Amino acid sequence: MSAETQQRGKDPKDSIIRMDRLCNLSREKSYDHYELFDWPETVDEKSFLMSPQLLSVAETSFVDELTHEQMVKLSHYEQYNYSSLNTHGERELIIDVIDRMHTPKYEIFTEYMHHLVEEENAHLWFFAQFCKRYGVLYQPKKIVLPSSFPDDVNDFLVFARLMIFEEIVVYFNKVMSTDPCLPKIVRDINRTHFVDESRHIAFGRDIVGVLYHCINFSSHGDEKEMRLNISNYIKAYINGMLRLFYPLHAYTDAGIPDPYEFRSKLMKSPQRHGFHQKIVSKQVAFFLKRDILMEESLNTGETIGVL
Amino acid sequence: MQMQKISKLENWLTENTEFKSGSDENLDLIDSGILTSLQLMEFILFLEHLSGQAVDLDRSTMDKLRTINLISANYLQDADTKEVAL
Repeated sequence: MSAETQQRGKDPKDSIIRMDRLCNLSREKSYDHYELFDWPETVDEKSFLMSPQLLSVAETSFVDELTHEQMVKLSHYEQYNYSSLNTHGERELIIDVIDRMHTPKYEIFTEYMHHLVEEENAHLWFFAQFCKRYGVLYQPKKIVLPSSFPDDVNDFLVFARLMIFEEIVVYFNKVMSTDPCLPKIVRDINRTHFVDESRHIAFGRDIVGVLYHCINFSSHGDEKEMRLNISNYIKAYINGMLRLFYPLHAYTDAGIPDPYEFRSKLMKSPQRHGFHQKIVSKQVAFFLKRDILMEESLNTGETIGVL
Repeated sequence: MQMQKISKLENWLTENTEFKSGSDENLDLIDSGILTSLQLMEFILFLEHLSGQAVDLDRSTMDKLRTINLISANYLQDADTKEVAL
């Protein structure tokens, strides 16, 4: 971390201690991802591939409208969507992290970043393997526009996005890692991911706090307006992430009639809002505690978890 | 038919972005900040639903989505209009 960052940021000693501990944990837990899993030839088409309570139809009237066979089929394609999201999410993360390693601002984080990249590369590999062996690896519908935020805000947002994404998928990991109705390979993949991601989230929470503290607001015009813009972005990003769990392509592949309308109805379903708010509650509390999410932002425009 | 689709497109933009109904159809939706990175995925899904055709994502896609007129010309032309144009 540069002297300038140290002056404006928190005491870096805490981060140094935490990064050292995370590096040790990563070394202790290291594994060969190519040899870790026993990949079955096939997955049973008649069994759920994603936990029913995690499906996008859970707690809605569609559970009663769809047949058991349709639910099972939907669980397969929602699992491929979930695994594809992880694949592409990890890929984009690695690119952003490597882009910052061994630069002065990230000096105290770089050693752990090596572990992060190594572990995310493993995740990227096994999620993609799962999709390709048994189903489909979906490609993201995404166009990235140039950011209108200054560089130090973008640095913060890179890791804020990482944290938001990881905290959502970890909720899914935790449920699927112990669900006896899922194939062993699904439980094993999710357990492995869950254990690794708990360290990545600890890293994310540390670096996000530091980088927000490092933003030089006085050089970016109206400070309150910039803080509000960041808060609004975080809010929109969380909702954007939640929408990815309503995969139109998966509904189409699962044979759902009029998949666009189906998706629209599901996302607007009030029964789903509670679920959304439950899976993002920890990160919302984290951002609120640090005044990154501002009450002023929460009280206007879209509501977190209401899509 | 094409006019109906344009009207639906404008309604979507009005409901989901800062787009104001009756805005210039040559208004740059991206440079003006009306369509952001976070909204583009939803917008593309809606456009695919409206047009009945897949929106291929490549380097040129962004420029095809910049204005309502460009979106209309690239994705919302009626089949018979396309034949005449060809």
